[in-house]
Amino acid sequence: MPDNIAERILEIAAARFSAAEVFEENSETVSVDFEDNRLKEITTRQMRGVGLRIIHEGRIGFSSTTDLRRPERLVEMAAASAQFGDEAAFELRGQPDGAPQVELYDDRTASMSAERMVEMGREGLDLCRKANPGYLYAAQLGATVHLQRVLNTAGLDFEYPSTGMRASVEIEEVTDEGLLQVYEYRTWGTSFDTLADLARRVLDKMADASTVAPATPQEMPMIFTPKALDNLLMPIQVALNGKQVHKGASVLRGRIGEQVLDERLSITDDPTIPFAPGSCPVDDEGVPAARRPVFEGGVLRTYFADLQTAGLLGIEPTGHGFRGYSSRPSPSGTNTIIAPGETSLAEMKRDMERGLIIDETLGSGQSNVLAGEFSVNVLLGFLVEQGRIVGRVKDCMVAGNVYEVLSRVEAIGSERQWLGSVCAPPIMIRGLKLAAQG
Amino acid sequence: MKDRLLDLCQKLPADYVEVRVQEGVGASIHFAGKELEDIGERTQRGGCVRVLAGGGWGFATFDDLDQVDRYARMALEQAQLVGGEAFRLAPVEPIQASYRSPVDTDPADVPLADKHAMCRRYNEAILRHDRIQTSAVIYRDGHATTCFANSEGSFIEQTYVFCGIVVAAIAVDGANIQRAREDNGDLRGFDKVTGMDEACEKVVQRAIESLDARPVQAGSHTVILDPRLCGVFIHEAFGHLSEADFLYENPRMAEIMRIGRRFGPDMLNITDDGALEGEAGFIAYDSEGVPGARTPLIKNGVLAGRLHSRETAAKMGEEPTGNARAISYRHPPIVRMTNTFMEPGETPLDEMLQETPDGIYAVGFLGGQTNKEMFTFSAEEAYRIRGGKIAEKIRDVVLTGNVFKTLQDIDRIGDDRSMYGGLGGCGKKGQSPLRVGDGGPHCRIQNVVIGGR
Repeated sequence: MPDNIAERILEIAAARFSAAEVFEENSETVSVDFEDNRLKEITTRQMRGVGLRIIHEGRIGFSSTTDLRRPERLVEMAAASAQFGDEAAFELRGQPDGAPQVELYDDRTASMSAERMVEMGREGLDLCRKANPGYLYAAQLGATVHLQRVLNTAGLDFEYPSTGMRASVEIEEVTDEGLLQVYEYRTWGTSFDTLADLARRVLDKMADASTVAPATPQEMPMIFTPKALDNLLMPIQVALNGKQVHKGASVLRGRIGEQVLDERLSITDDPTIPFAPGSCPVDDEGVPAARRPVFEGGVLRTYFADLQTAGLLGIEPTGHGFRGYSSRPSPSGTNTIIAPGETSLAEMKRDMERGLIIDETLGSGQSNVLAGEFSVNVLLGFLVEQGRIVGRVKDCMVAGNVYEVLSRVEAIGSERQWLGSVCAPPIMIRGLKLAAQG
Repeated sequence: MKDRLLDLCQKLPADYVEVRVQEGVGASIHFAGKELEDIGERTQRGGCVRVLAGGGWGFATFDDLDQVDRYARMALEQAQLVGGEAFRLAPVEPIQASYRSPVDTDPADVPLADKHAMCRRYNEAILRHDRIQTSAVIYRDGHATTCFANSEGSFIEQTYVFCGIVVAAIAVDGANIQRAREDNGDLRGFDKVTGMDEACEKVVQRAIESLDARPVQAGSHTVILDPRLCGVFIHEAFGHLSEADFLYENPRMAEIMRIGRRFGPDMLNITDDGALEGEAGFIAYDSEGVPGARTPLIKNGVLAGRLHSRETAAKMGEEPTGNARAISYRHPPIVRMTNTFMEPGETPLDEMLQETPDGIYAVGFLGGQTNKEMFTFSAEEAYRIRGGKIAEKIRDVVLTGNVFKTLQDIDRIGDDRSMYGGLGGCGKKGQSPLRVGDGGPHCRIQNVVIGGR
């Protein structure tokens, strides 16, 4: 970091409290926005903030700021917080032993210019215009350089830079019958040179969705694409959170070693993949990152814990303490890697007499997520009849319990896709009910 | 500060420049079960510059206020790179003003110890019950002062004091986990959060009762919404479609959304009102310095107006409505709702129920989302209606509809109306949560699709 503000804050805090930890973030993002078939805005976002966590007379205190003129005030606010704070169930860790080397910084991303991103955005726009002059194109490209540092009174001082580039393409068609929108995105630590592949993927789906197929209420097999799979993964991520386990509000509590999902489902949490969006050498408390099986053959192997949660649960920290500068660490996963199966998407589709491919949904996370419930509008769903896509369904919903649904796996795809920090194949589920009028 | 910001706006060679500098402090308390996950204060300070040059926008936001000149130049260069067809923003008189939202009790005057004691009292009241596994009590307040200056000579200083709370109970029986919550939050001050004791008892009862509730049956249902859920329904099913940034350069959509088009029955009236002082979505001036105002969106079932920024108003040849809002200095203003509601009708709830032989009574909200055509919203609790009476409790009620069809299926509008805020808010284009108010009367809708078993 350019000045020594983090050290100064730690010094002031160390003089007053038995333990203190400073977490500092500094980032700059440049992004370009295309909307309604034209370039609209270019944005620069600079952010710098500091969070201070202290342990005072055994209690945790915390505060944060972006106002770096008065470190004393930050220390005062943390002290006030510690008067009421919970008892610390952990001790701060010193310099990590055996943190993996994970490549996260890419020079080309760091020097990515707005001009270059504008060119890429225009390339996508041209493809879209050629495909159908009636389409409306929107795209966003952004490049970020992020620097984070955590240091504490136990001797930890770990700083690492990372880069990230994000791109999304959304194409919309408005007709008398309504609206069609298709969206694709990609994030990665290294830069990319073109939007053409994303735009083509969107255009292919637009073509498949151009006919509306009737949605009749009935039970049928459904394929969740990697994008739609988020509906099933999100409740599981919540249940894996050690805090929920400790409070008895996780359906996975006390079930380590048990068969929870279909035996063909293996899910790994892997922070060691170079340039993946969830990768890191250490977590935000300085605990070394490590690859861990979460479900092996459907059997639950681990929860996610930060230092405090691990202390409460009486387990070793798992390296899952993550945060932004303005909050205390909290357990969450890194990269979610689902093992591929043996069936290609084409084969899954071919074997469908009548079924649905779900690609986008609306309303994710609005159900009883703790219990594993999902209930979503099928925003982009393709009806398959005798192995062929016959059109897009509209105004319908699909609902279920993710644990029940992921025990009824018909097939797991052989081709995987990265979306955000998830690398997943499509998954086909037997006997789901489509809710619709009629 | 004032002269420096106005000077900066004047100095840049651009068609339009605005600067916002914001300073804020907020307290938060978060109990989750027996653990106090968070307590204390945080501060934030930063600014942004937005520049319009030759038809293109550049925007820069920064925490390091010493670098304001550097970021202003960056925003200018970015705007020039965007380019395009030059245009003028819809005219607004330059304004010199200062506003501070009035509060009953200022949360800043309440010691952290008292806030902590209050939240602990609520938390203990929830955890006291045998069948309650865990809880959540989340309190948050904030003072944010924003100075706005633009190249037309406006300078506006605004301070808003927000205060809100959520109480939730979680009951567990094996793999059956049920949650109930109550919340409130607006600009009225601290007094409102001090009387949540009854709400704590209610969430306990509701979470326990939900353990025995059956999941709703999938299909198409007649639904009566309570005022809270009616507000969320209006926000999702219609409000977002009124935001002119979806329309002004989307000719097909603008044609569909032409003023005068029928959207619902004669009795349907929908309004957005940024000038309701105290409500969660109140604004004296929006983030472009335009006064908050009342905008009828649907009058007697027919489209009557829409929400604008100065750019969308200019390009559609309409008046600015004061709906360009940014959640903080980290974002540019975009077209947003303020307080959005359905106006009351004539049918008392009793009568509405009596006229419903078979249906669902859906109360409170968990969430809502729209893509401008389809929308979903979920009820916090729900009951079957049998033979005109509220019958057994059911759960997992997530409703969906089509913006262009569902409003026409409204066939009864209640004679009551309530407005709601809360700790959450609205999300759009990466800006979340934005404080908004919404509400309405009870209302009945036919043919609503509900996902279920």
